[in-house]
Amino acid sequence: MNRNTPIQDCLNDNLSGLYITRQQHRQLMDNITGGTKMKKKLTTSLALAIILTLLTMTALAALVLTRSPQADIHNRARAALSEKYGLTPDSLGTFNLHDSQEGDSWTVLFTSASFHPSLVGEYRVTLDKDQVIATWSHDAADKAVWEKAGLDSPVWGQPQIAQALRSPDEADRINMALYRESPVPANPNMPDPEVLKGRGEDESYWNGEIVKAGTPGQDDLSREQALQIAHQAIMEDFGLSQAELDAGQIISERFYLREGGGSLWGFSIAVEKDGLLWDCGVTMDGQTGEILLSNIITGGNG
Amino acid sequence: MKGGEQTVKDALVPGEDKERRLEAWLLAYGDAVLRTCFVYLADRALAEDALQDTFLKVWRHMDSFQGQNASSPKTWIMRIAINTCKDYRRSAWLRHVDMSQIIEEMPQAVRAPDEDSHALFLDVMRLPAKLKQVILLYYFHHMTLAETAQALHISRQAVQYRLKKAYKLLGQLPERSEEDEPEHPHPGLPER
Repeated sequence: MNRNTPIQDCLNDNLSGLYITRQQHRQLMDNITGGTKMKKKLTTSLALAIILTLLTMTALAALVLTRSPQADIHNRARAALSEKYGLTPDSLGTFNLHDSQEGDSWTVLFTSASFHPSLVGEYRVTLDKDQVIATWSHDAADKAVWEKAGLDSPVWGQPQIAQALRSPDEADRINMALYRESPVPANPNMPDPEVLKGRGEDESYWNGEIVKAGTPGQDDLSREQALQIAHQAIMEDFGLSQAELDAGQIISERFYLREGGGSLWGFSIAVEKDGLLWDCGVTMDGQTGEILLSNIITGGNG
Repeated sequence: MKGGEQTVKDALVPGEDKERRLEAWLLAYGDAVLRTCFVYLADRALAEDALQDTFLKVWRHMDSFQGQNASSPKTWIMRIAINTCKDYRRSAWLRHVDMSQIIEEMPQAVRAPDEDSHALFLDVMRLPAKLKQVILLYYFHHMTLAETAQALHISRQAVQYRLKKAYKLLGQLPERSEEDEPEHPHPGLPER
């Protein structure tokens, strides 16, 4: 057989840029004749493999974020409102969430925490295995009335909330007038004052249970681990970036022991985005890192 | 080093000390080994590691080679290089190499290949390992069928068979030559 010229040429041409430099030659000679010294050397590929493994582990840690059914339902409800009504995370941050469960079906109610309920109304999302239904108390209102209107609209949807967040003085003036006319009931998420009666100063009320301030033990996540998980949850749930979070400020970090055993880590991180202050809160299982609740507060209602 | 393969004659001066001989072999065959390892492993960093491992084995077993007259240093070194690459390929790491990344990995060619040449080169890279070995030794290292067979510890017929199979996969037609054996394994019999 003669040498097949195209194959020979393609090998010669394509590999012509691959050669040992003088420096590499010297290094190779040193490594090889140095014998044992070379054997201990961490090869480039092994080093790369280790780095990639570490990166993969980090990525996996981010990917395997788990959420409690409640946290998952909240996310799905927020997503449903975002899809149907165009509500952005900062606008959703002006609402309180209240959930209830009946069998496999959940209902999440979004009530206003910043603006008068007559303006923004309330949103209700019903979720079960097969479907998600989102409704708004202003669904009957003519969309044309509020879709392009300013703060003088009798109905505030996404455009007005976004404007109100960025024009707080004007929003306050309108809202205060309405609050004076028709006061609204207190936040139903607040605990009954009787619940905390007789409790110690280190005890708190969290999501329907009494928890006690403590310090992480051997089985608990470290503060750093928990904070990393909290960052990841905020990025995933509210679309903030790591850089924005890094530039933010931790305004509270709490570790609690639960009455029935186990623990909680909770972080509140203030982040400035587009001229607005986002108060991002994450509470997780102190041992497994499972996200139990995540929320943001905007609009100065915190 | 850049500039192509050097002759090995000067590297085999009797009585030359071991270190100088290694250096001469590295100069003579280093680039060829590096390129072979790259084609075999499709990863430049791994190829550089394999190059180092190959010459480390050469260094350690140089004395035993000196007693063997059956093969040339080049054949011997290439056999070590290919066996080293085989060991690397057994690792799980290499089972997921993305061949499309080869282009990114490739250093800029001194002799710029045309599109066809580059496409053919990538096809060679994608050949099964056994076929790639014979292509490399036979075409790239200009070994004879006998030397290729010796380097791979296989028969000449097996080398021919693999070359033909590689041609078929590459869409290249082999040419006949008087210096090599006829393509069918029984030269005394007429072709049907």
